[in-house]
Amino acid sequence: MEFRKMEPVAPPALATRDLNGMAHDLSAYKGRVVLVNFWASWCPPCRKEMPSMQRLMQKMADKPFTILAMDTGESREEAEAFLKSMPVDFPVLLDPESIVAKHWKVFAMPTSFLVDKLGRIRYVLPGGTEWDDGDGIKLILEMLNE
Amino acid sequence: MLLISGSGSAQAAASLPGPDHLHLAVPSGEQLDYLRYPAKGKRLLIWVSSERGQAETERSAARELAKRGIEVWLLDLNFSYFLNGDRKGFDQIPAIDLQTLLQDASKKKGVVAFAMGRAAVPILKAFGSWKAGEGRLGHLDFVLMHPNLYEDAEALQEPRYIDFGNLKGARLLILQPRRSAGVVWLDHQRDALQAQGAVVRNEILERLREGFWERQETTDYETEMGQHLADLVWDRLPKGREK
Repeated sequence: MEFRKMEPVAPPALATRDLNGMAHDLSAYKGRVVLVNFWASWCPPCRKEMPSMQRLMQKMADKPFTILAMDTGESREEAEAFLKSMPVDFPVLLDPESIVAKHWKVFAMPTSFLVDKLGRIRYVLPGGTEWDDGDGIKLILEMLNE
Repeated sequence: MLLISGSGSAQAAASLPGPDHLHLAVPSGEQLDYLRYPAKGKRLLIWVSSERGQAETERSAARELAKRGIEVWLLDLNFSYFLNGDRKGFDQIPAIDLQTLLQDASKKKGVVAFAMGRAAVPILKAFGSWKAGEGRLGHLDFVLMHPNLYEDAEALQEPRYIDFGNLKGARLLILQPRRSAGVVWLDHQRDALQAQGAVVRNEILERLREGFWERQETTDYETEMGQHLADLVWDRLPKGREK
């Protein structure tokens, strides 16, 4: 799958809590490039790309970059069960009723959005990828340099 | 007019046990290949495999349903139309071909159409585009397993659904595995189909993913449900409308 370039557009609302109970609002991340990733533990390509997201996070540790991984349509317990075998350092947000996914018009898992430092969606990727090697990291670095 | 290859009757692999392998010449010039699992009951299930092709679990289910008295005609449209999983190809299957099949089937028994994934599109198109006076069936029951009916489904945009024409007389039971991005959009899909005249009921299949009966890696529960696909279908076949 290929990244689809968007005319910069304000994102739908995204405000929810992560697995630790901490509240996250996408609008508070202006000034940072954000990868918003909709995933589920039952989704094989979601599971496959998660390690590359962790590696990406590590590569970008000193940069204004964040990953918000939106676990969609499943319970906290299901998310936690998967993450026991795949611990990650970025926030895993919970959307058990898929309310956020519906606002963002997500039709496939995984679907990822790249949000720039002004808080605008710039790219959409339906499907998985190797985030730390290829077009994904290239686009993120371009957006960080803007 | 229905044309059947052979000497006025469908060719059958008569010497082999199990299903009959039949070929139906259709108006577009193609041959619809299907497996017929005969049964003595008054209902006939036209089972159309998804764009991923036909799995052994489906053939097992067809055999079991036939043992219970439901005749099954099992179609793989990939095979008949050389589609190799091409979704656009499924959309372009001539409606008149499946109208011919439905018309022939309905002469004999009460028909239910069961279709999976994108294969729901050609069978719905066949019904929806059928004109009165051309042998259109007055009504038809459908059981659709996670049908893919999108015209467009792009992130950040409202989905658009295929316009099938006039679905008045269609009764649809939509089976949607819970573990799918599609489950969020069931109500939208229902509304779009109802706007075209169909009566629609949704049922969510918990703890299952789309294509659960044919996945390479399955959960224990998915494996079990794949082996009991006949029960899943049997329990949801509409009662009545038998011949």
